[in-house]
Amino acid sequence: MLDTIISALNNANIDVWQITRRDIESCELFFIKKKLDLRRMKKVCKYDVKVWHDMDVDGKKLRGEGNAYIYPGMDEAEITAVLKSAYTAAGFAPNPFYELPKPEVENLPDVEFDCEKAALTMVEALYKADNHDKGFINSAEFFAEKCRITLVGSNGMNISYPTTDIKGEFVVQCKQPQDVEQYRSFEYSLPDPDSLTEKVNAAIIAVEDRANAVKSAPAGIYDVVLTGDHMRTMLDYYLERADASTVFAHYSDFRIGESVQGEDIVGSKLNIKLLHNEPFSAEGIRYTDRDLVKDGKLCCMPGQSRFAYYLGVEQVGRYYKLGVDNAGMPYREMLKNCIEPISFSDFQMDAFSGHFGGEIRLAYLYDENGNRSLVTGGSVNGEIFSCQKDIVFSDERYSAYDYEGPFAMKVKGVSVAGL
Amino acid sequence: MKVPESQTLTSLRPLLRELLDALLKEYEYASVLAVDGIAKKYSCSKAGLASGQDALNSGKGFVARVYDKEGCCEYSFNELTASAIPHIIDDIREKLSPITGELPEGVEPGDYIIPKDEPLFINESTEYKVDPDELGDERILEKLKAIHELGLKYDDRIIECMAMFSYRRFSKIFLSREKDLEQNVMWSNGAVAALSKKDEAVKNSFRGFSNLGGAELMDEMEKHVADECKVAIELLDAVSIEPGEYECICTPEVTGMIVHEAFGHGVEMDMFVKDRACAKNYIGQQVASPLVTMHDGAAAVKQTATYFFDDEGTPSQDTVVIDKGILTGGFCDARSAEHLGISPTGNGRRESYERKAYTRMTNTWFEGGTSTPEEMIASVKDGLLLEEPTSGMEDPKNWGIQCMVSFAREIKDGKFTGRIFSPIVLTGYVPDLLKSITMMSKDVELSGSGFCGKGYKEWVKVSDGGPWMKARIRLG
Repeated sequence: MLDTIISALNNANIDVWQITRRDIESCELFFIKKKLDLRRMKKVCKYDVKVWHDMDVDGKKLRGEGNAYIYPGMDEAEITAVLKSAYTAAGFAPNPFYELPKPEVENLPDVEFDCEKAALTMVEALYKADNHDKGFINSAEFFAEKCRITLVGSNGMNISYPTTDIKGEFVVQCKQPQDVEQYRSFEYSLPDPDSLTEKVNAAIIAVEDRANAVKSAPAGIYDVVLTGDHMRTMLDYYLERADASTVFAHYSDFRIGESVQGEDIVGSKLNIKLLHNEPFSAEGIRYTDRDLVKDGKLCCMPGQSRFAYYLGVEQVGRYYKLGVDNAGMPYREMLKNCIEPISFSDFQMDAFSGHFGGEIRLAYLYDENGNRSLVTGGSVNGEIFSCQKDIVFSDERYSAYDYEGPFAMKVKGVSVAGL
Repeated sequence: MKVPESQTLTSLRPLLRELLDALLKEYEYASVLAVDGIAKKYSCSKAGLASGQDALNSGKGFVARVYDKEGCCEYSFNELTASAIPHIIDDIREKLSPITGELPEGVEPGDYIIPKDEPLFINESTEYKVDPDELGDERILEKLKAIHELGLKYDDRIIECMAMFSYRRFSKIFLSREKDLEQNVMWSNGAVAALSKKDEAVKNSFRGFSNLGGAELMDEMEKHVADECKVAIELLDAVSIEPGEYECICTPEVTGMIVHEAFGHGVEMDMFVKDRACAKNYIGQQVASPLVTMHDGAAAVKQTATYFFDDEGTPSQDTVVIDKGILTGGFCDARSAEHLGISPTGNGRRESYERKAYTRMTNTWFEGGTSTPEEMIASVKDGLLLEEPTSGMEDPKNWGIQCMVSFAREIKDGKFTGRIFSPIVLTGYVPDLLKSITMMSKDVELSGSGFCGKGYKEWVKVSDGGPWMKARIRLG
C-alpha cells in the first residue's frame, strides 16, 4: 500500500509529501461494578498523506498544505484522485514559504506488548484496591493499544517506531452517608499495576471523604494547593503561550530569553522542561528532553514547524509532556491556611484570558494549625497573571503520562466562591 | 438535493453480507455496521489559510458485533476483503471470546440478553442546497478570507478574526439477520471568532453556525462579523462578578448549554444502568417549572445530530424527557436498554467505527413559551443577560451545575446599563435552576457547532438549544 501511495504521488506530479502510516491493534474492556459488560478489539491501518503545493506569485515564494486519508481497499486510481484533490486544495491555501524539518532516518524494533494481557493485568490491579468498607468501584474502562508508526517523506525521511499505551478511566462511589462518586483517568506506556492500585486507593479514600463533605468553603480569597492532574493543567498556560503559532499570531507576547512570569517574581522562578513519550513528533522531528522555561525565562517555542520557521527559531516539534524542576517546601508544610481541591467537576486553564478554575467536588480546608475539614461545592476562580509571581512547589515528586515534577503547587490570593 | 450514497459501501455490500452470514453461523446474534465518511475543514486567520481533511470525522471502517456465550463482543476493522473475513472470525473466536476466562478472581462476565432482531428496512438521505465539493476549496477559502479581513478592519484593538467552515458527509449501512439499513447524511459548521487584547489578557468572542445541509451555511456568517468584533472589544472592559444568585435571562445558546450539560447528560440511561444518575429516582416527579418541556431526538428536528438510525441499528425518534416540568424518562442505547428491560430510543452513538457505542444525546432542546425576548428583558429589575456559552461539565450523580459563559450584561429596571461581567461560572443545583424558570420566549433556536464528549472523550456531533429563558441562577 505504501508503494502504491508513493507511485500515485509520483503519477500526480506531487513533489513534496509526507506519509504517516499507523498500524493499530487494541483490546478494550468495559466493566460495570465487578462485571465485564463488553469486550472489544480493534485492528486498523490508516494512512495520512500530507502534500505541499509550492507556488511563485509575483516573485514571492508561497507554499500551501493539504492532506488526505487513505484506507486499505482503495485502488491506485482512487488514491491518485484523492491526492490530486488534496494537492489542488493546497494550491488554494498559499502561505509564505517555509522549510520542512530536516529528515531523520530511524527504524526502531517492536517492543513486547500483548494488548489482551496488558488490559487484564491492569484490570487485576484496579480491582485489587476494591476492598474498602464504604467506597467501591462503580465502573471502569480499559484501552490497551499498540501501534507502529511509519513516517516516510519526499525529503528522505524514513522513520518507523512502535508505541504502546494502556489507559482508561474509572468511577468510584460511596453511598453513605450520602451517595456520591469520583471520576479518575489513568494512562501508562506500559502496564504499571502498582501505580494504578495506588491511584484507585486514593480515589476511594477521596470519595469516602466526599460522602462526608456537606458544607462549602466560605467565599473569600484563599491560598490554593493544587496537586496531580490539576497542577499539570495549570502548566498548559506556559505551553500554549510558548507555542510558535500563538506567538506568530501575536496572541502571546512570550519571547525567548524573556520572563514568562512578568516582573517582581516573589516565589519560585519556573523551570519547565519539555519531555516526550515517543521518539519523534508527528512531523518527524526527533524529540529530546529540553528546557521550555529556565529560571523563569523562555528557552524555546515548541509547536508546528511552519511557525517556528517564520519566527526564525529552532523547529523543536510539538510536545505534550512537561517536567518541572522546581521544589521548595515539604507538601505537609504547605497545608496551613489554605484550601486543597482534591477533585473538580472540570478544572480548566484558559491560556488566552489567563483564567483558571472549576467547580469543587471535594476540597480539604486547612486552618492556621493545619487542621483539616471537608468541603464540597463552590468554585475556584483564579487569574494566572497575578498568581504566577508567587508560586511555591512541593519537595515531593509525582509522575504521570504527561507530567514529571513536584506533587503540589501553592498559588496565593485566589477567589473561591461558596454556595 | 439528496445526499448521495457511498459508492464504496455499495460495492462492499456483498462482502458485508458474507461476513454477517459467516458470523451468524457461529453466533445467535450478529450485526455489521459500515461507515464511510469524508469531513473537510477550512480556516483563515493570521496563522494563514488552511484546508484539509478532518481526522475525527473522516474514514471508512466497520464494526462487527456478536453475542457469544459470555455476552457482547465487538471487533473494529477497516479492511474488508474476502480473504480478511476468516481472520476476523478467528480473532473474535480466539482472542475476544477467551478473555472472560482470564478475568481476575471476583470479577465475572456481565449479564446480557440476546437482542430482539425485528425486520426493518431503511434507505434515507438528508438534503442540502449547496454541495461544498461543487462550491470548491478555492471559493470556500475566498469567503473565509473576506470574513477574516472584514473583522480585522473593524477596529485596531481586534488582533484576530478567525473564520472557519467544515462539513461532514457520511454514509452508514447496518446489517443484521433481520435489518437492512442505509443512510446518507451531511451537516455543515461555521464559526467566527474575534480576539481583542489588552495587556497580557486576550479576550475572545465566538459565534458558531450549523445546519443539516451544505455550504449554504456560509451565507449567514458574514452578517455576524461586526457583532462578534463589537463584543470582543466590549470584553476588554469587563469586570469580575460578585458571586451570588441573580435573576438571569439566557440567550437560546445558553439555554441550550443548560439543557445539554446540566440536565441532558443526567438522563443518558447508561448512567441509570451504572447507578450514576440521580434522575432515575425522579421519574414521574416534578424537576422543572411547568413551563419546561424537553426533547431529545435525531428524528425530531433537522440539525447536525439528525440521522435515521443509530450505530446499533435502532431507528431514531423524538423522546420527550420532561413534560410540563415532570420528568418522563431518559434515552438510551441498545445495551443499556437490555439492562433496563426497555426499548432503545436510537441514542446509541459511536465517535467512530473504532469506538464503543454509548448512550448519547442528539438534538436536545426546550420547547418555547409565550413571551418575547424584549418583554423578558423589560421584566428584569436587577439582573443579567447571559451570553456565549463556552464550556460545561455534567454531574448526573448529584445534579451539580458547572457551566461557563463568556460574559453577562447588567440589566437594571429592564434596561442594559452597559456594564459587562466576564467570565461567568454557573453553579448550583440543577432542579433549583429549572424550577426557577418563569418566562420562555416563543421562538426556539438550536445550534450544533460543537461536539459533545462523554466525560473527557468520545466526541460526537450534537445540537442543543431552546428559547430565551428567564431563571434565577447562582453565579460564581
